[in-house]
Amino acid sequence: MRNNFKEKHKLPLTFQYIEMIKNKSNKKKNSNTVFYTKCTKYETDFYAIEKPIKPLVRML
Amino acid sequence: MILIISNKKDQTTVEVIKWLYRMNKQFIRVHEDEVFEIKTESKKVFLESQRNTLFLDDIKSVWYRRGGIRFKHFRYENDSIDEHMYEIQHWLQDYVLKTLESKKHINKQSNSQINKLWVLEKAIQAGLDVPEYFLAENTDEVIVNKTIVKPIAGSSVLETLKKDSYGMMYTSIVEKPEKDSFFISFFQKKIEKDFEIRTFYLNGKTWSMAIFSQNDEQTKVDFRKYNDENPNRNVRYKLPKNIEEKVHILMQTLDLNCGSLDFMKSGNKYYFLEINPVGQFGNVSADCNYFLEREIALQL
Repeated sequence: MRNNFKEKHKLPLTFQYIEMIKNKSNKKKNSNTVFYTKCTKYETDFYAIEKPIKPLVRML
Repeated sequence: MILIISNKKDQTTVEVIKWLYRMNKQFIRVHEDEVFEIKTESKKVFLESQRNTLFLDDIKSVWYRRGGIRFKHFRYENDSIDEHMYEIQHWLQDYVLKTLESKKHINKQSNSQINKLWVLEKAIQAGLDVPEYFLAENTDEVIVNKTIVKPIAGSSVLETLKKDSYGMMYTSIVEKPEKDSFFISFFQKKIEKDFEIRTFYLNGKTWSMAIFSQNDEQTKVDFRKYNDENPNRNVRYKLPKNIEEKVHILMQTLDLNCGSLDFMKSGNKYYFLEINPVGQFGNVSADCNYFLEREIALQL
């Protein structure tokens, strides 16, 4: 297997099929883009700001 | 008091905490970047970090979600003293972790990482169908286009592989034989599936979701290659009683009381693929209206 990662030792075959995914930019693309905020109530710095999910039972 | 050991970024933890507030249950959330010092006061052992103080006696139940409790470790100048103090600190930390794990708990820090190969062996012993698999360093025994390769590691993401991108190792079909040998890799017979099943297990009970991923070329081999434009159809599913019983036996064998299991349905067979004790179940909960976060909060 051709070693594309310049490693001295052999790598598993999974590296042959690895998919490279570009890191997303922080630019807001649309209203569904998720952002995070600090939140003391839930003790997290990554509280997701997103459209709330409405479970089916709420609509019944 | 409930102790939640989790990652800062874990959204599922937030959803469970919402239910804890609803149930008026008190909790302490511990993050992966907290470092605890073991201390004593009035003959009682307590842990102290930058943002939390907790007495071991006050903890009534523990939910190990992700991350882990880390301890401050003192080093000493003299090698002999350092060795002696290393052992003392090790046993104190071991005592704290064992004490926490002896309380009512959902998952444990000590067995949150499981060996995929070991799990498959135990799954076969529990009577579950597992697609034929083997380890190899070359493709001599591999039937091209009828065999998949996937990582033995729990995580399939290589976060900082390149400066501007990360690497993702999905389950892939071996498309051509390799001339050279490679590092030991995991191969498994490719199964033509009818659909995939994601099962959430908690203390003997299971909740399943069928994922119709086989009709989309993008999600056919690995449903995690999400098609955002045209998402897979996910519906509630009930595993047959005998499969649920085998799942229960497997989880007991592995000393896990919570986890997410992956299956493939092909004809009348249910092929077991793997378990993730700290896997995401938010989609199973939301898509199927199972309110799994509530189930966790209830059991804590």
